[in-house]
Amino acid sequence: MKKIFAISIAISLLCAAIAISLLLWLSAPAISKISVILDFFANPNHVPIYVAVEKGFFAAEGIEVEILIPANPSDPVKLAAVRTVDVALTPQINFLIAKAADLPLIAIGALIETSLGGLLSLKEYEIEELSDLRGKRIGYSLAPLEPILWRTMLASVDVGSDEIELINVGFNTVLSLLSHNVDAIGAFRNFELPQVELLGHEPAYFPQEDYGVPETYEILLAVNQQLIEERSGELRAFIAGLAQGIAYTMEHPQEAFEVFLHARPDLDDELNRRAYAATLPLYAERARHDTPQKWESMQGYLFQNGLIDKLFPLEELYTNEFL
Amino acid sequence: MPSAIAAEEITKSFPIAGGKIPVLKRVSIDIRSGSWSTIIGPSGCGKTTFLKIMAGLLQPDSGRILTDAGEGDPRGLIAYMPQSDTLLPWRTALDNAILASEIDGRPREEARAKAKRLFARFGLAGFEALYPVELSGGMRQRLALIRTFLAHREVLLLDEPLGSLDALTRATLQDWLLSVWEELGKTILLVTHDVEEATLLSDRIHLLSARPAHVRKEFTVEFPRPRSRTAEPLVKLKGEILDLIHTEAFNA
Amino acid sequence: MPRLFKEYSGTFLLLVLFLLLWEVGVRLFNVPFYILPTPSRILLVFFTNLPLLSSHGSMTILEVAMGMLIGGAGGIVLALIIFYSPSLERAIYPLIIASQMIPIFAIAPLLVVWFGYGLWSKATVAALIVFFPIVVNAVDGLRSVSGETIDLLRSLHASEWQIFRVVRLPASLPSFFSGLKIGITLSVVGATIGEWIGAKKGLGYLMIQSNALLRIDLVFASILTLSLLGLFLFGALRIIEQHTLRWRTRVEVNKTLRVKQ
Repeated sequence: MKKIFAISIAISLLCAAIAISLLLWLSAPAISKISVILDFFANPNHVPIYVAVEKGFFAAEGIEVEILIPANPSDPVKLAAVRTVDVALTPQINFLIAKAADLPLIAIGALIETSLGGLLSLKEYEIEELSDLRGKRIGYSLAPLEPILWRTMLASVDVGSDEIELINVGFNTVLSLLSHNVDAIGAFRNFELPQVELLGHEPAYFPQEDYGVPETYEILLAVNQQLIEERSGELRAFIAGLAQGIAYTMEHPQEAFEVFLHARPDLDDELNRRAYAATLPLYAERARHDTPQKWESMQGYLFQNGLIDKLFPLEELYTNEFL
Repeated sequence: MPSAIAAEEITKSFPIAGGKIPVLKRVSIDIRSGSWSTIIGPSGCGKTTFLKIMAGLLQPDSGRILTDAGEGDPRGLIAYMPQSDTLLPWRTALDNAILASEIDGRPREEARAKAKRLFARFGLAGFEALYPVELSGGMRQRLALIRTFLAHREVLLLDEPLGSLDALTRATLQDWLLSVWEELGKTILLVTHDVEEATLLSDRIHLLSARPAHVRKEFTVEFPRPRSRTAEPLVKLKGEILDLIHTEAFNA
Repeated sequence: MPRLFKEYSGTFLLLVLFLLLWEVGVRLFNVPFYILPTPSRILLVFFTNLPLLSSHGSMTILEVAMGMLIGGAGGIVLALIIFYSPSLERAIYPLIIASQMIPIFAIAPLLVVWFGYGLWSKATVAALIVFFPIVVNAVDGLRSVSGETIDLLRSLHASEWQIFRVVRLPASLPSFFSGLKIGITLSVVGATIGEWIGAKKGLGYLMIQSNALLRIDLVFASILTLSLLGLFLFGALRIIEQHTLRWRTRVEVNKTLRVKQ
């Protein structure tokens, strides 16, 4: 009896040891993994990332990249700040607001280095110039950021805040524009603009940087500050891979888009093709995000308009050590 | 005594899946004005169905109901009291009592005053403002009965009004009901399964057979009231009726 | 007040315990405020922003009230149709049930486009959510009258209208109030969701705005305000119910106290 007891104990211990080793071995990553969360739904803005994944640029640098989609556009900065994800894509404006709210973030690169936003109306609403929006209704989805941007634009053509009506129309900006519930909407030049064209309307578009809004990096790459020390090697590899993805996209736009569609076949339609064509010139060359004026002017603009309540020295906002 | 209401050759069947169930077969009963008639019979023989036909709620397949006004809808003549007390829980006792008057469109205050008098007269004083949920079983039946009497109708059709009560309460209520009827008059047609109750209260007892029911036998009860439950003639009559019922039930 | 405290002391205790755990937990694990703020911070933000919260709250209350009125009225009408017409019931009921399966996120944008960004689109969203429990409960209430009670009234030669007024209507009130109580909480949810889709004002709108600015403490303060709103409306409804259905609150008195003659 005792013998059998001793033997069964020994066997159980052995099994346990094997199981634990297996578990440890399986959970140890064979290759470094970086998780990236997009700023919004997957769209042609993100072609270079998918290209870098599919064409093995990241793998060649020794990392595996996982792409995540947020449920909510305000999630990415939060998730990067608590390190649930490694890298978050986010507009510079959102990034600066997050910094002012004490999120421990820093920007390590950019995907889109120019502004994408502006006001969109239709020629058929008799809007030729921006000042034609005097006395009209403007629809937006993200408060309070958008109203401030649009007021700035209209102030630059001497239309006061009391001369326009700003209405939050949720996410259905195009619908509200086409049904003429509003006369203009905040819109991306590389999405809603081709969208209304495709639907047979002639657009009247006013880019924000032409009307008093500072130039901005529309898509930055943000990480938690601690990652700079802890995983600098992987971040460097990530930026390197991404820069190659961007370069490839700019040199071989057709192939790049095919690669993108291979990963995202649901985006194979005319709208996305047109959006892509509009986005091509706007990718950040070599993922650069380090023009100091762009940071100073945007930070100053947000501070003046009360969207942030403190200013940061530039070295706390971004680093170019991985570029 | 002239007839208050009479049933002539009432026949009724109910459709069921794959056929019909005959329930009443040429039932003829004559109710004399001011009298107390009781219908008795084995369970499920169709007593309630018959009463509903008398109340104008069901149409017989053949046969007719005759009243003073001739043939037709007996509804202006009868006050029907269903088996469960059907008191409206959201009304006070007093307002439950005046239900029929309200339906008839009579002025409420007058109806309430009259009801109050009857309450006082018949042991319900002080209960006017209570809700049915606050009354005991016996009180609820009293209230339902008073309501039926207050309906300004000549003929009262009572479907097993005391059936849900315990034996003691039932005995008390039988005496009470008798006193109410003796004072207020009215013609009563009672349906019950309690033979003792029938012999205690009725002028005439109509014994129905098992389904399909017809009038098996009629008894005229001529003992003077008030009757004693233990008096020999009563007990003998009770025994006779019970025997008949048992053979009926047995043969069904 | 003291009686109220005594009655809800259990709830109060649980709430305090929960808040303590929350406060301690967040501090202990260093959860950043933009993920989960502490209750103390939320309460602070709540009290310092009362004007803002009540201003937006008044809009939301209005939407909720309109939603209840429209949904309630519509629900009653539908219930009557379903009850009095079996053929219409067979036709309509499945459609009503199917309508509840459509997620509000799908319909709300359409409503906003049709009704604009003001009060009515939100009230409609709320009404759509609310009418279902009201219909179901009202129909059940109308059906709750026993056949024998109807027999009694018919034997008295009561008209269909009298039967409705004297019996069916009062009999259906308890169920109807149940439906309303369910409805009112759903109405608050509906109005809030409606505001997320498109609005100029309201607590849902404030939540979205604050979230974008990473003012998560204000988001939670808005949620707190919404909860208080819901509690208040529910309580008000309870009081109305208790007043209307006075007979339900009476308890059956001990039978031995009744003296029978």
